[in-house]
Amino acid sequence: MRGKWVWIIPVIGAALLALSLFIAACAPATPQIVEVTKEVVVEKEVVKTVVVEKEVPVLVTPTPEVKKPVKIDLWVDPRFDPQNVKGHPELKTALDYEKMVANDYIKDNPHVSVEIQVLDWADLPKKVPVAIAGGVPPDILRDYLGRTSTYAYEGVTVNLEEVIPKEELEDFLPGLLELYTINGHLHGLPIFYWVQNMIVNAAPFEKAGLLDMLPLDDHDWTFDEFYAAAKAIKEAKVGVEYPLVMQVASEQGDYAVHAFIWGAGSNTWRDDCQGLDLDNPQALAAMEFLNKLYKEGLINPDVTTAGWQDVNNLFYAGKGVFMGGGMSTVNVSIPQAQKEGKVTAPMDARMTLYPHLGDKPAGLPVGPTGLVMFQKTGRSDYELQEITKFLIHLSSEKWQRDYCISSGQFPTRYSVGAPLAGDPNYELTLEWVKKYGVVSMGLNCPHYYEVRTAMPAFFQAMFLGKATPQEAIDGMMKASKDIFGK
Amino acid sequence: MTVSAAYPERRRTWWQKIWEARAAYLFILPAYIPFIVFVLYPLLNGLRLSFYEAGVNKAKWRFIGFDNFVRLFTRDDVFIIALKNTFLFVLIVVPVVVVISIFLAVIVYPLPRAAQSFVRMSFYMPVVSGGVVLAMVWIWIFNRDFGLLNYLLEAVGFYQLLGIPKIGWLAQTETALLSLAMVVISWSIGQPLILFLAALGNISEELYDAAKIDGASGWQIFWKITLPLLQPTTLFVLVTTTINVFQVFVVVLLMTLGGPANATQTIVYRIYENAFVFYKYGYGAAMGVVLLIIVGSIAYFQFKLLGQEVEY
Amino acid sequence: MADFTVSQAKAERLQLQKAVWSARLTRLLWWLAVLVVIVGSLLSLMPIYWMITGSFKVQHDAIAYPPELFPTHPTLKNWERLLAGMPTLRWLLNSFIAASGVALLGVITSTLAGYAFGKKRFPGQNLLFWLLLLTMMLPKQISLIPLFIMMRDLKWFDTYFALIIPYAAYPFGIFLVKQFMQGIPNDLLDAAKIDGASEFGVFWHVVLPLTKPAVGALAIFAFMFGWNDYIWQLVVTNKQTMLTLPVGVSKLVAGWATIDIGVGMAGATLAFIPMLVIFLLFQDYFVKGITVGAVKG
Repeated sequence: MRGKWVWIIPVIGAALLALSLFIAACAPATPQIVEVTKEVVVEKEVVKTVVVEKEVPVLVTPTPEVKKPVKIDLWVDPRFDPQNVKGHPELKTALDYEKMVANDYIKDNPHVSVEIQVLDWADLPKKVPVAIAGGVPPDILRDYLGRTSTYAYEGVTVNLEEVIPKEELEDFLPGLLELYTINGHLHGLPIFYWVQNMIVNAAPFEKAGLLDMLPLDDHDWTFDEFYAAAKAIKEAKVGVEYPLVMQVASEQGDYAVHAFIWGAGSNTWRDDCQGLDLDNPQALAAMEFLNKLYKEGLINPDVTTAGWQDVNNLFYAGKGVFMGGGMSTVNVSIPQAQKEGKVTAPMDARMTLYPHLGDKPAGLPVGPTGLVMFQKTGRSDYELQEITKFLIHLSSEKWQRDYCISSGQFPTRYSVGAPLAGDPNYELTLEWVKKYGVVSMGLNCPHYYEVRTAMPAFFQAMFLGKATPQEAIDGMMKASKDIFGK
Repeated sequence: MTVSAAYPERRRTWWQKIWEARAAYLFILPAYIPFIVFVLYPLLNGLRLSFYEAGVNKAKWRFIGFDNFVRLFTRDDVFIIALKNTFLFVLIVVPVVVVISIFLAVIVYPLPRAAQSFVRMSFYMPVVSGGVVLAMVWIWIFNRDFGLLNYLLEAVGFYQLLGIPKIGWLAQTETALLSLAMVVISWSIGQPLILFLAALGNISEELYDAAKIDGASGWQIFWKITLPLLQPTTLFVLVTTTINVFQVFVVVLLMTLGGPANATQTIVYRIYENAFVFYKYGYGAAMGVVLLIIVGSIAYFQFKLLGQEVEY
Repeated sequence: MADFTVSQAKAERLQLQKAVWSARLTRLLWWLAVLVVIVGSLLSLMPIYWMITGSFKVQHDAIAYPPELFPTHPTLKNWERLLAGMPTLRWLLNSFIAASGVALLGVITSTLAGYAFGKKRFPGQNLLFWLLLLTMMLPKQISLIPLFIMMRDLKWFDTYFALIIPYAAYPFGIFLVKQFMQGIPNDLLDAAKIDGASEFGVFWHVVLPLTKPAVGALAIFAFMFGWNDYIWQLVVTNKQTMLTLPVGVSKLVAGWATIDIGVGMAGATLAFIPMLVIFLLFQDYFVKGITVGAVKG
């Protein structure tokens, strides 16, 4: 009985599949509009700290002078750890900080209410795309360019060039605006960015009397000089086991590995953004150099499985002396780790450049974070204007300065000036960027994440001896071409 | 039944059959209505995307026929690796889980109730405590330099005997998949154990008494009475464990991210990445269709082999 | 005895000895097996131990090499940070309502449908059953967006409906109950029918009591399913007051540049305790052979 019946399942399954396909094909292409924004305006249960008594009369008896209420959904990355936010000891959570920034606007614009969500790094890429595909994205999102560019390629963001006054945009670094221009649309407003370089712990070198092997004055050194320093400090037996600590277990922080490719004189991404550009002798030289370091025990042996936390710990424990990082690593992370008692070795963290193979150092990778406005069905022009004003507030000079100081990043507006002027690491970074320029990490390229996450496997294969450097490069190039469909 | 009288003979009996079984349909209805609305419909709706190029922007969804499937099998090396790994995973984990949980149930069942509860609870706790905690503990256990596993292996002279250096269990392509399989086994036993214990409780004591009077040994009782009577539960455990192991990805996400060198990529990890990292819903759905076909046919064969009616 | 010849007696003694030894061996093996089970249980409990002690460790101890087996400097700081100023109790309540709802609905629909699938014959039975099975074979990610859009159209965001109703049908539970029902002898059902019981009466008075162990297991599984469905809860809740505990804790921990292991562990422990309680409550359902004798007598 049972056996005889079962053949029908695939048949019915196929029929149902065909039916649903048919239904789908006939369904209207655009999703039905749900008046979410208008609805929630009425429902006044919104996160805000505005004095409530002020609010109620506005709702009940709107007078001509009072503007129509606007509710804005703001979703942000968990960038601001209240422990690191300077000058606001009363803040307990990341949400408190964001509320403070929003309230600074609401106090002059009481008709605006803002519902804020701080999303964990792991939750951001889950919740945001589902909300977009479901037709209920937030009005404004703050996230890293590598991710927002994907949304821009999908065409779901508002072209900010059309809504933000030209004078306002002129205050922003044009190079960054260019990075944010995808398919002719300015898809986001950069509000700060980091610059990455190398961090070196000079303490063991001093102890071993090898300080002169580090380029502490001009920060300019070659692969050979770097190799000599790494080898010397390991052989000096002052507790340094794996001079260069890094990880290729995930794509996170991959610039610390790609820096050697840039240093050797190759790009990672093609100039036209259509895939990887590693098919050249320079990239091969970089891969061979990394492979040599690993084989000689100059890179941590768990490089294929370690997380960034592990890499940091190796550095804090004095087992490693070279690590990827930037100004915020030296100014914020390491002091914090020291405070928490995580640093167990003598620490004299300095900034330097990655070594190079040609005649001068490569440019530096730059990672901006920006504000993106999503398109939303049913949004009125009035609402669009109000949201834009709030977005400008979030990117304003005053708050950018605060962001930069709190997270050790760089401002994107000319008018902010140099919030950290006088900080030697800050000045140093600016000097490097001026002198050597920036390199493209492919953040604004199509299929960025897909290509990026395909790469670690080939680094791992090389370090584990399953692939030669050339094979690793070939593998990455093939993966990139497969993804781009070429 | 006046209406059905108008139909030809064959049709009438068909309707009659349904009418006679009306009680059964009523019993199913409370489950089946929400099932169709909230499970089946969204699923088919999601699967249809396998014929689309579909990202986060619904307005840009585009019908592309079988292109996604063509790409899967012609220019996606990682997916092929993931397919292979997933099969390997299932082949390792499923038999071990079924055998261990039956073994545990049979050993524990005669013990006092408190002991039974304790064992049942301890094996179910890994399921309850959730992936993140387990991943943290297991990563520590597998660590090459200060992990518990290598500590124990050194203590019993494993490495000295084989004359090999210490193994980084998650760091090597040869051992990574096996290590993850061990983690999955550790948290897959709890549920089957509960079910087997419950099933053992349902077996009538009289059957055992009768067997003992006939002079059957413990082994004979196990093979001739216990095991056959556990058959419906065994089938359930086999099918659900197979389904679950085919969907393994949390360990991958938390412990290896598919590495090293793609040694632990699995189908559902690919689906996860396509949905939540690359936002390629159509492509992910195509992988889902492949998964459905594979798991569906395996489950079908499991039913064929073990699914005969048990009547007594 | 006196009738036996010497050799007979010898042979008998030998056989007896053999039997004794084989019994001893079996016994030894059995105790060995019990030992293995005990060690296995303790190993299984280790992550829990790790989680709970971890929640009392300061960050420095949590990452110490070699790991501390017991917190040497126990602290309540992690718990304070977790519970202070956040509606943690509200999140706990939300999770509890959601998971209980899922468990309750799941048990009701699954036992009814499982009975029909396991003990009745009707046209289309196998097709309907296989459709249930097939939907279990796919990961959640496939149907996430269509279901999300449905919630949007129903305006169910930030409601308990969204957390519960989509799980009213629990294919895993139906399958489970069906398999258990198949083990119930048909004679019992027939006897009840002859006694003049109604269809529902048979189900309620005869079948259900016999399936108690399975229902207990089902309730636990469904509760856990409803408790742990992280991605779904994440996408359908926005308001601070409607978050569930796992989602809330993850947002709380978000933003701390250095992830404090202790706080994470405290959050995990908090999410774990209610499930432990549920587990212990439903343990009673597993009592052996509950009503079989009663029905027969």
